[in-house]
Amino acid sequence: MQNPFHLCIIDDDDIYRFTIIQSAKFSKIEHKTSVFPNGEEAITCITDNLNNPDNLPHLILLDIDMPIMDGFQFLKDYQAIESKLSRPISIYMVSSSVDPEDIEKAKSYTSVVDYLSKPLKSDKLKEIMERTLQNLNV
Amino acid sequence: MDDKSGIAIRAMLRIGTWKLEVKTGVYMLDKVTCEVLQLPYDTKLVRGQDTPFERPSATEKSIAKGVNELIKSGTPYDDELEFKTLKGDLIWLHVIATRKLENGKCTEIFGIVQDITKSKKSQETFYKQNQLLNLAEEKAKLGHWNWNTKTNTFVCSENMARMIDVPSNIPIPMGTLLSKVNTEDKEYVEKQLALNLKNKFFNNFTHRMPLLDGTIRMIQVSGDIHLDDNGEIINVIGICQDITSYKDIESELVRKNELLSFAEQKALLGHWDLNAVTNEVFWSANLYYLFKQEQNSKLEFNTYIGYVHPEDQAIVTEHFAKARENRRFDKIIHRILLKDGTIKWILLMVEVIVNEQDEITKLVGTCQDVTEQQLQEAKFKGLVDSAPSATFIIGTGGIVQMINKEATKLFGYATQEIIGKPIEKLIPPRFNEKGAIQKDQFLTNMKAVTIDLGEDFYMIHKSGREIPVIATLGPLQTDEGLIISMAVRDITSDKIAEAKILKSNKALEILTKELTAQNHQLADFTQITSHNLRAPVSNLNSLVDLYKLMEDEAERDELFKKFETVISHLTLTLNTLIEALTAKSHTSLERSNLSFSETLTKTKEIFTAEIERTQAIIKSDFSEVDVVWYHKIYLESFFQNLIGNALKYKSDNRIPEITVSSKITDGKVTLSFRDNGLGIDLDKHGHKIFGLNKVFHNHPEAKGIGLFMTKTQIEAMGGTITVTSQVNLGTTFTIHFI
Repeated sequence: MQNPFHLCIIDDDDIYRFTIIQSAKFSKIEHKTSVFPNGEEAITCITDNLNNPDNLPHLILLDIDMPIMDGFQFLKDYQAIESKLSRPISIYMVSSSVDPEDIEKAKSYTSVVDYLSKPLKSDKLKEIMERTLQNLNV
Repeated sequence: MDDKSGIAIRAMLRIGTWKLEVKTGVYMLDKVTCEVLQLPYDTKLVRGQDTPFERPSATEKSIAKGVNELIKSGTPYDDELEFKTLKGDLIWLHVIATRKLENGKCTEIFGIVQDITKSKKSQETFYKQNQLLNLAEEKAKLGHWNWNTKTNTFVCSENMARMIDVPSNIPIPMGTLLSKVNTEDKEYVEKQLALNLKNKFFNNFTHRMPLLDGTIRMIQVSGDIHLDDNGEIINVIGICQDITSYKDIESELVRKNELLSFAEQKALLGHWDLNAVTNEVFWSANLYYLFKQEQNSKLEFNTYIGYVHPEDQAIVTEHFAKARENRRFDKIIHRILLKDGTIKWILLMVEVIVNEQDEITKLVGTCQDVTEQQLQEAKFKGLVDSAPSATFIIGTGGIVQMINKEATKLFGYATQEIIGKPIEKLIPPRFNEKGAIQKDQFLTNMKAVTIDLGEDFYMIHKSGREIPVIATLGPLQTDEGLIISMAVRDITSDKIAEAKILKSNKALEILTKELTAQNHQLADFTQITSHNLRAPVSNLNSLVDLYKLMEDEAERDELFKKFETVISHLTLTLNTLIEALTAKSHTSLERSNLSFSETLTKTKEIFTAEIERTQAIIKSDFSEVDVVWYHKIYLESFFQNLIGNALKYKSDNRIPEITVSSKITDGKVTLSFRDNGLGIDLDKHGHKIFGLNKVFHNHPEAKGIGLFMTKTQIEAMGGTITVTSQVNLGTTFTIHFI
């Protein structure tokens, strides 16, 4: 496949990362995954591949609570370079926090498609992946 | 007449003869003449020649002229002449001369001289006295008259004649006199005169008389009737006096007296005088009225004292006694008790009059009914007394004139201890400066004002204790000057309440702070709890889901390992949280005196391996304070946590150096841990630093629990922990013990 669906997980919880990766496998959608334990590494990678759509993810599952650079800090930096992206990215904020403040803050970022709370069920994941694919083809 | 006897007679009468021979001009003087002139006997004088005695010029002229006339025309000469004798005596001579004719020619002048000095003198005296009398009459506006009752004519003196415009010194018929009398009084006068004659006794009377210029004078007529041995009237001598001015003065006096009485009445005044010598007492009409005493009743000095109110008698009597001593009477207000039971207040002022020997001759006093004023003053006093707060009435110079019951109660003084004293007696001296300024402002503005000196105002109780007060000043202008009313309110209870409120407030503030802090902690805690528990739980859920989906045994085994990881993570988190909760609830943990240096040594022992490995240098400075009253376990825990962190997060570029030091700031102990390690970006992570599981570096051993617990424990003991840091330079944690 030329350009397989690129799923990106930005989260410091390795168990969670494991569960998502496994869930994605059960979606039966062909894909590749990349993981980053914190926002800093993620933004670095994206910045490096601004003009390299093959290396850019289609979908990002972004956690809030991460060391070094958390989800919101990542979003701030992301928005600064968003316009330079060669291809748009769908970002979903995923967190175990149900703090309404966090939810609102997340939704205030235009780059964020939606806010999801953990645990993320596999069928939900599948749904998101399908939706993102649809948007891409349109 | 026989010449000898003639001579003798003439000598007796002091008549001298003389002869002048015209041809020779020689005077022949007889003995008497010479005696009279005090010339030596047989002196010969020659006509035309100077005489040895002096002759005033009038005399000379008269003689010369008279002699000439006599010689020429025979005109007899008869004159009274003044001479100065040889011895210098002044004499008057009556000179008569005639001529002797021989053959139609005058050959001889002969005459007599008579010494009339005596009679001249008495004549002169008489004349002078008459002049004097006239003058006296003129000045006294008198005139005298002589009434010849037989002819019914009057002879008036000069002055009288002038007064009534009739000729003087000649008999004037009564009718003429009567015509001068005022028409209306004529009948009256006539009657009086007739009556006087009848009674043979002159009763004085007055009548009016119009003058030519239209004015009317009052004439008083008085006289004496002279009777002869048979009781028949010889004549009546009397005087008429113009008493118009007296009458005017009299009516003026009466008028003034009336005015005085009127004034006394209106002013409720009465006056009296006591003649100290005769003890005669006089009371004015209004005094009778004031004292409700019958007019013209008998009066003594004690009559007055008798009216004085029994309670005031002692003072009044004393006053009079003092007055007699000092010759001065200080005015006094006393009560009088009248016969009908009325009580009045009298202001008594007395003037003591002394003579040259400093003996008291008279006492003159005024009594004014001041009942009304006294009642007003009593009312005023009553008002002041009943005022709800302590009130002072202050007069000029800051002297207290009146205080009320509340004031005596509040300040512990008796009334007489304060009255007459300056109000400053009750004010602490430290307020004097500011007080003076405010007083000046107050006096300028003349408005009621509350004393505000920018600090709490106190006044002094008799015992010396200071009372916190609020004082208000109010001005009042009176005739006697400015009086100030000062109302003082004791705010001790207010102050106590205020202090209580402030204390409560402070306690509340502290409580609020604590609660807020605890609330924050709780919020943090809640957040931490929700997140740190939810994460592993959600992972478990996800893993369970996966387990259901997986079919492969190998994969399931893998999965199970993950379960273990998550569960142990969850367990750790739960334990930490429980430990934190326990720390929070144990606010009264046992404390003891702990040494920083000892604790550091113990910590170094625990980290021996790590220190060696990293070659770390650990320095300390506990010179300011080495001992703290704290919980042992916690203190050891801080040391381990912070030193452990410093070692863990050392910089790769340099040898780790950790300095632990203690200080006392504002009486509070602080403990600092400074390292030269990786540092923390506080801008990015400052707010997360003490949270649970916040790890800022990708360090394998970074679990992120330590600082959370440290902070919780410190705050449970009532202290705080702060951090400063710079990336790649180092970090300093400071613990503030309370």
